Parts: sequence; structure tokens; C-alpha cells
Amino acid sequence: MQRFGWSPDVLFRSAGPDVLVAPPDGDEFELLSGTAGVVWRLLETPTTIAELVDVLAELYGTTAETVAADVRPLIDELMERGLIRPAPEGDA
Amino acid sequence: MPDPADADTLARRVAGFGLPGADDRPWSIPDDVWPSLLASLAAQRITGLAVAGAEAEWLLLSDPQAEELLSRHRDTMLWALTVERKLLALAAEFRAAGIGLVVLKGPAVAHRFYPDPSWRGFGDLDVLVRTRDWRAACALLEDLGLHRGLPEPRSGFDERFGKAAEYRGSDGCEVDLHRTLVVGPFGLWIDPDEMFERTTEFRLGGVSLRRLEDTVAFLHACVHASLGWWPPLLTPVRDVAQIATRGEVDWAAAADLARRWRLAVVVRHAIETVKELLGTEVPEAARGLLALRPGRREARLLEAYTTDRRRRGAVDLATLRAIRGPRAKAAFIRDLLVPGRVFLAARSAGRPPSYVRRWLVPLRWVLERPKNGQG
Repeated sequence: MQRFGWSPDVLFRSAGPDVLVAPPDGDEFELLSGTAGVVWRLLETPTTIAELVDVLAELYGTTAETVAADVRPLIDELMERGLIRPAPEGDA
Repeated sequence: MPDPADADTLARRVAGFGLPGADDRPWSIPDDVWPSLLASLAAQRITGLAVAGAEAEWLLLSDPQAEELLSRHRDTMLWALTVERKLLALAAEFRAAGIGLVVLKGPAVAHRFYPDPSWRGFGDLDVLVRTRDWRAACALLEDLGLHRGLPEPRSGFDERFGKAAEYRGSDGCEVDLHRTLVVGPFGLWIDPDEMFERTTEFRLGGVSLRRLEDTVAFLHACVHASLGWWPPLLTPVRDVAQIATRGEVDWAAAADLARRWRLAVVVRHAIETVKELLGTEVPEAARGLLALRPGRREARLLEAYTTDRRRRGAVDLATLRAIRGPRAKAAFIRDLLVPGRVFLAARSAGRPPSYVRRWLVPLRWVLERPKNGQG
């Protein structure tokens, strides 16, 4: 199963429950709040989507199916923005 | 308990959050004090400590207080990220130009010594270059579109007597280019080349950078806390306690450097300031530095930074005393009393440049001295 983790060239800071992220290209910043902030913190350790879904489902007290519907697009978006990347084999 | 009406006292309490020995009883803030405390936290860039304290349920905030704090903290962190982006861009330019660069304070301290870098805010970028690279580094920053705020008084002053030059770009981000750590005698006694050799790698945004190794970083924090501002700012004082607590400081090496760089009195003052302002003690090993016996001359020179005399030219006079040799002393006096026209204009605050007005400054220092010679 593919694991995902932070891109090493991304700068970021915690701001309470939120996370401010400076993508490697450009002058803009992203504010990851709510579930996005939680997912970002979980990705400090490279994690599979299935593992993320399990943790979030337990955290929010809902079903894995419901969480998965939100998590997959979020991971795609974070990938597209260059904020996370597939972790090299062996990273966990 | 601190006086709840005193925002500065409360800010000092926040600045001590999480340190060993700090008061760990939960506390709340009366609404009438909150606005001035929040302003103080933001000005001192310690909103991160307050947020961390609130998350730990040590600082008990009402919902509106928590919301306002988070808003200020986001601003502080956005600026820290802006500065770090600037650092990465400059580091690439310096590397391409073959100029060695060491990151001081801000990002280096936040990422190395704090549990989370969001605990430690910063407003500008401080970098150190070797004295031999000074001119090339200044020229590079100018080429990159940054402008120096105050020019050197005369050519060569920076390398002989100077500490740093402030540059600013169109983005408002300030870059302090250093060749030593502090203005005045203590800056002259520090060996910049040795300091440059005592550095280590750290990574930021996937880029390899250099910072001061922990032992020298501790001494730098002491210098900044004791000599940087008067009254001292809370962030550098917190840095002293933080590095002493979490850094891998070689205390024997720190004592040796403090002795050779004549910083014993500065280190002592910083450790005492931690206790006075944050109400905590540095670790036992660090307190061993209090056994160093500062010379009377150094103790006297410290007063030039830590008393009201600072506003009356005491640091310049202390620098003059520390400069070796009559020729060098004469050059220092000449550079300050008869600076170049560009420097004079920059110091004239919009008025026509005037040497006479400049010469009246030291006269005012003398006239403003208290009659009993104290203070």
C-alpha cells in the first residue's frame, strides 16, 4: 500500500488547531484547518490512506466509508499542490 | 502571584511556559488586562508560547480571548514562514556566489531548540558571514535588490569596528548581515573566525544550512539577552533558558569560550535575567558558569549596555576603550565624528546634513550625565 508523507521542501507552522503551509513554489500560503490540519499532522509519519481513514473514523466517531469520501480528494489535492508526496519504500 | 493588572508581568509569565521550575498552576486573564497583554505577546513575538500554554490548559482563555490570540499567532507564523522563504532564496544565492552563510537566531533556534518551531516567533533574518566575505556579501544583497538602511560611516568601518548591516527588500523583510554578534567591545572580543568554525548543519525546507553549534548558540543567546536590547526582550531571555535546557551544550567549552571572548559577565547577567524575568533557574550545569570571575573592566563595560547610559553614547565610549592601539582608536573617532556625506545624510532624518549637529551629540551626552556620575 502506498504511503504518503510531507514533502521535504515544504515549510509549515502550527497555528493552534490549524496548520500554515508554504508550498515550495510561489509566494502564497495555505491554511489547513479542520480535518485537513489533522491529516497534515498525521502525515508526519508516512501513512497509507487506509490508515488515515481508520484513525479519522475513530476520531470523529463515524464510518470509514464517510471519511474515505473526504480523505481521498484531500490527499489528491495536497499531492497536486506539492505539499505531500508518496513516501519512499521503507519509510513508515 | 504576579500583579494581574500588569500586562508585562503576565507576559513574562507566559514567556516562562513549560520551563523546568516555572509556575505550572493554571491561570486565567481578566478581560480588562487582556488587550494590553495580547499586544505585549504579539510585540514580543511570544504568541506561540501562549498558544502552547492554552493547549496544555495552563493558560485558561475565554473563547474570545483564544480566538484573538490565534489570529495574532497566525500573523506571527505567516511572517516567520515569509522570513524562512527569504532565507532559502538567499542561501541559494550565497551558495552560488561561494559565500559561506551561518543562520543566527530565528529559524535556527526555533527549529533546533524548541519543542515545536511555532513556539518561537521572529521578525527578521540574521545571517553571519566571514569578515573576509563582508564586501562580497553586501554587494550580493544590493544586487538582489535589497537596500542598506544605514551606510557605514566610512569605508572599512564595518570590517574593523562594525557588527552588522541592516538590509531591507521590497517585501519588507529585513536581513541583518552580521560579521560578529554584538556591537561594541564584546563584539570586538569575540573571534568571528572561530565562531564560524563552530557551526553545524541543519535542514530547512529540504535545504542544508549552517547554524551555530549548541554551545556557541547558548553564548549568542546570552549576548542577545544581555546586550541586544535594554530593557531586555523576552524572546532572547527565553532562548537562554531554552537552549540551556534542551541544547547539547558543552558547558566546559562554553566556560572556556566565555573566558577567552571575555563574555563571563554577559553570561552571568543573562542567567540572572532568566531568573529575574521568567522566575526560573537554568539547569544546574549552566549555573556552573556563574563561577566564572568576570574582570572588573568587563563588568564596567556591561553597564554601558544595561543602564540608562546606553542612550548617552556609553556603548561607543566602551568600544573606544576596547579598541587596541592609538591608531585604531583615532580611526574609530574619526569615522564617527567625520563620517562620509551619505552616512551623515542618512542620520539627519530629513534635515540638511550637518557635521556641527553631529559633533553636538557627544556634547549632549556629557551635558545630560547625572551630576553625581551615576546612572
